[in-house]
Amino acid sequence: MNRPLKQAVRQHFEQRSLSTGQLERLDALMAVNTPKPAGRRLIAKSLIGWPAAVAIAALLAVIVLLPPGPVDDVPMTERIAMEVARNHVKLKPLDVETDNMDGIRRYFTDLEFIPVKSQLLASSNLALLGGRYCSIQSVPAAQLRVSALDKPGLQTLYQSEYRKDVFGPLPVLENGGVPVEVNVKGITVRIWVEKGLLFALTEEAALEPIEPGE
Amino acid sequence: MLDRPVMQGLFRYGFSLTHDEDTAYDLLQDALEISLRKAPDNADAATRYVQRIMRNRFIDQYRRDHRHPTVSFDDKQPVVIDPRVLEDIVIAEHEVESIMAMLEPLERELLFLWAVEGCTAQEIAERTDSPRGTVLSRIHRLRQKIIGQQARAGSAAEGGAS
Repeated sequence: MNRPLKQAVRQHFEQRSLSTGQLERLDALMAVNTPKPAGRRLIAKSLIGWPAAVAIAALLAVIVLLPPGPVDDVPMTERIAMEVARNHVKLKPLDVETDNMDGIRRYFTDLEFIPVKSQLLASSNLALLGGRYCSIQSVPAAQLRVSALDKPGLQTLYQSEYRKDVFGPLPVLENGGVPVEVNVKGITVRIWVEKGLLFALTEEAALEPIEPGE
Repeated sequence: MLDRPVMQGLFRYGFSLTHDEDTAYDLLQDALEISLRKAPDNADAATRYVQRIMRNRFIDQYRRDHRHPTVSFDDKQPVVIDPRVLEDIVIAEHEVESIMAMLEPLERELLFLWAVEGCTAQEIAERTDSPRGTVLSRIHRLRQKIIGQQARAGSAAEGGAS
């Protein structure tokens, strides 16, 4: 059947839609990060009254705080590890290529924190390659790419503002905490808090020979 | 905060550039992450702002991936034509996918802005930071490309039938 080009093109695009899961992730991304001006809240309250405002606030809290579907029961460290590992595997292009933290700081000016060097990694012989804007659990993050000088392969190091309301309790290095290690997708993800920032570092499992008969 | 219909529209805009749903989602997510701190309060302005980030990021990436790009992002050869030249093209339903696959990203973007968002040539020029003459030139080439593709497909079909 022949149709005008305009109609055919419109239908071609309208057939493409974000899935419910994708929409929920984007909603959460915006809900966590959108600033809420006090003036606007007051106007909303005066227009719709306290009961409705409380109900809406409660609904929003449920939407934001409870992730959808089967991940409800998954511990936060595993959710972080899954997200970090998934993005590590994608190896998306870097926004900025630099071998030093000054270059990183000059680039990441839209974050509400300053990327820092980790004391924990000071002796790890990691060479910085660059970074890109990203997020963990919808909180804006710097995704840095590093490579170990003594090992092949690339590693991903996330840094994000440590939002306890989002991430829950995590080991704080300054308090003697030891990084949590989670294994997902063939990748070990170490997660810890240092200098008020959440860190997550990937390390791909070593290629070990498979013994005959295994 | 953008509502869901707006996000669907932005996703489709991303699809017009990337021609791949996963990449379009990544592009939208990246743009939202960058835009959230600075996006204007006005919903329309915020949508345009996100769309602009998506476009810039896509072009940056495209340039990185294609050292010898087959599409020019900067052509400035105005051609005086009627901007309605696309209106009279009629295509068969099965031709849409092959035409979309054949087009360059900015040609698909142009089609999207024209067909889905209902933009005029002037509005497309403003949305894409291009001179109106450049947009008209692209429309002209787009028409030739689509008609050429239809003619090739027609010839192939006739050859197959004989």
